[in-house]
Amino acid sequence: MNAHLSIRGVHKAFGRNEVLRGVSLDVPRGNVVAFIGASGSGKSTLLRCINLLEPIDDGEIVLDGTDISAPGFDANVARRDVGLVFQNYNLFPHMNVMRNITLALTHAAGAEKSAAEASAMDLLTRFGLADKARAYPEHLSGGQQQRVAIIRAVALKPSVLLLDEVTAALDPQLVGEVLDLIAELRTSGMTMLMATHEMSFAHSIADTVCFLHDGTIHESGTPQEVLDAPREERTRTFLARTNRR
Amino acid sequence: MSTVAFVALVVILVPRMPRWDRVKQSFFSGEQFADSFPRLLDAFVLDLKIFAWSVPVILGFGMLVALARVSRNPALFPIRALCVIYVDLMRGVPVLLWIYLIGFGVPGLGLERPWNSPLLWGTVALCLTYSSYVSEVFRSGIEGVHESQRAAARSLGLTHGQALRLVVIPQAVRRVIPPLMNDLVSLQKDVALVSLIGPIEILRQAGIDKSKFANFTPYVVAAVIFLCITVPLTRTADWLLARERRRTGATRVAA
Ligand SMILES: Nc1ncnc2c1ncn2[C@@H]1O[C@H](COP(=O)(O)OP(=O)(O)OP(=O)(O)O)[C@@H](O)[C@H]1O
Ligand SMILES: [Mg+2]
Repeated sequence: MNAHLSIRGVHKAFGRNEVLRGVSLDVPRGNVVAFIGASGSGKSTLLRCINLLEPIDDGEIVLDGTDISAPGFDANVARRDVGLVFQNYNLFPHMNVMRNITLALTHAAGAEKSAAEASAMDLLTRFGLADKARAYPEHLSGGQQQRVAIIRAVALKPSVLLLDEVTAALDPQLVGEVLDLIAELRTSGMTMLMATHEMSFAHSIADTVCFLHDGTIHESGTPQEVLDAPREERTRTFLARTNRR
Repeated sequence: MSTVAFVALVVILVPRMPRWDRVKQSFFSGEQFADSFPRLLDAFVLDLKIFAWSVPVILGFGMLVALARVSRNPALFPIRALCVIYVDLMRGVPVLLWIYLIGFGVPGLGLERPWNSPLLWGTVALCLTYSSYVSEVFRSGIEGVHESQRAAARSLGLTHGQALRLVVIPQAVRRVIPPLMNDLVSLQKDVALVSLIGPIEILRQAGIDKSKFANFTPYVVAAVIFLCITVPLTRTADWLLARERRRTGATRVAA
């Protein structure tokens, strides 16, 4: 098995609510996986489990051959390797853009302040945000905030990046700039797992699309297979409902 | 305009009151004012000292209690329970009563000097009561920081402690600065209560002067001295509150 990331039989329940009932998936290095599914189908929960923000009840999450969900494994180290970006950006409002990006570099990854600032500046320049380094999040547009949030996760050089509906909170005209950034990250070879409602984007960027239903991956395949010619009845119903909107 | 009219009315009418001359003599004697002022100002230094000692203790201890109360670690349950009892006890009884109970009670145990000073234990009582108020202020601030901030910090690999220290607490403190200032204004005044168990600070000195000269002007002097500190503090607190309202109001519109 030479998958970069393997999710094996992951179960997660909140009280009686069994959200994930055995999700399994192998992701080769550099692949992009898009999770689609109805609201409440567990897309966010799955991503939070992979980032170890939520402890899983059963199963394994294997990254580069190491079971990072094993009880003895240092979750803080694993989280640096698995970046997570949220729908609502969750930037730290009391810190400027630079400090948002360098905080975990200096405090969790043990980087020198100057080195951290230099690499943050590189990323900001690369993604056209260099002039915002000293700005506070409240003075940025939603699209800019979300790009900073992605850069904040990328700055830690994670080997996998998880994106949870990162464009869902944005005005339509701001979606493009964020999707461009993600496309660029894909070119650089980043392994990415994303929950999304943007079917056309999933179609153009994903290697694999997974339809989550009933706590499992109900159907998966290439975008052409799953989005254009779904085999499962449930997938068809879901896509029909989404497309009508 | 109405304020001006009211003030004018007071200025014109009050001196026409039948006993005004006597009141003027015993509350607003210029001579007595000049005589008492330096002495009371001297005594006020003790108030300021108690205040200056208490504030860091109260902020530190209040924060510790708040953190204990918001912790979720099951192992800390006994400490959480203890903190709840402590806060309820302290908040449920007037400050003055705690000053009497602790300020007279503990030295009454027969401790050696300097541990038997009512000044010391009165100040401890003040700190304990105000720490409980302040812990509630901090707690509301910490709970007001959205869970997603903690999640974001943890998702980046920061530890639980780092997330609290670097992300949650700074935001919580910023939110509660205005109510905190209000508590500090009250504290500044309540310091004078410690005088009731002995120490000669401004209020007690005013009482001594009043008895000695059979004149109430020293109390007016004390009031003026207090106002010189508390009014600027209150104004600052109001200004901070207004600024905070404007800021959060603005972000809510933007979001
Ligand atoms: N912290 C939590 N505590 C309890 N229940 C939760 C928690 N987080 C999620 N859930 C439940 O888990 C289920 C899946 O939620 P999740 O947020 O993963 O769905 P989703 O697919 O991301 O939906 P959406 O498209 O609306 O974002 C829902 O029923 C939700 O109520
Ligand atoms: Mg979600």
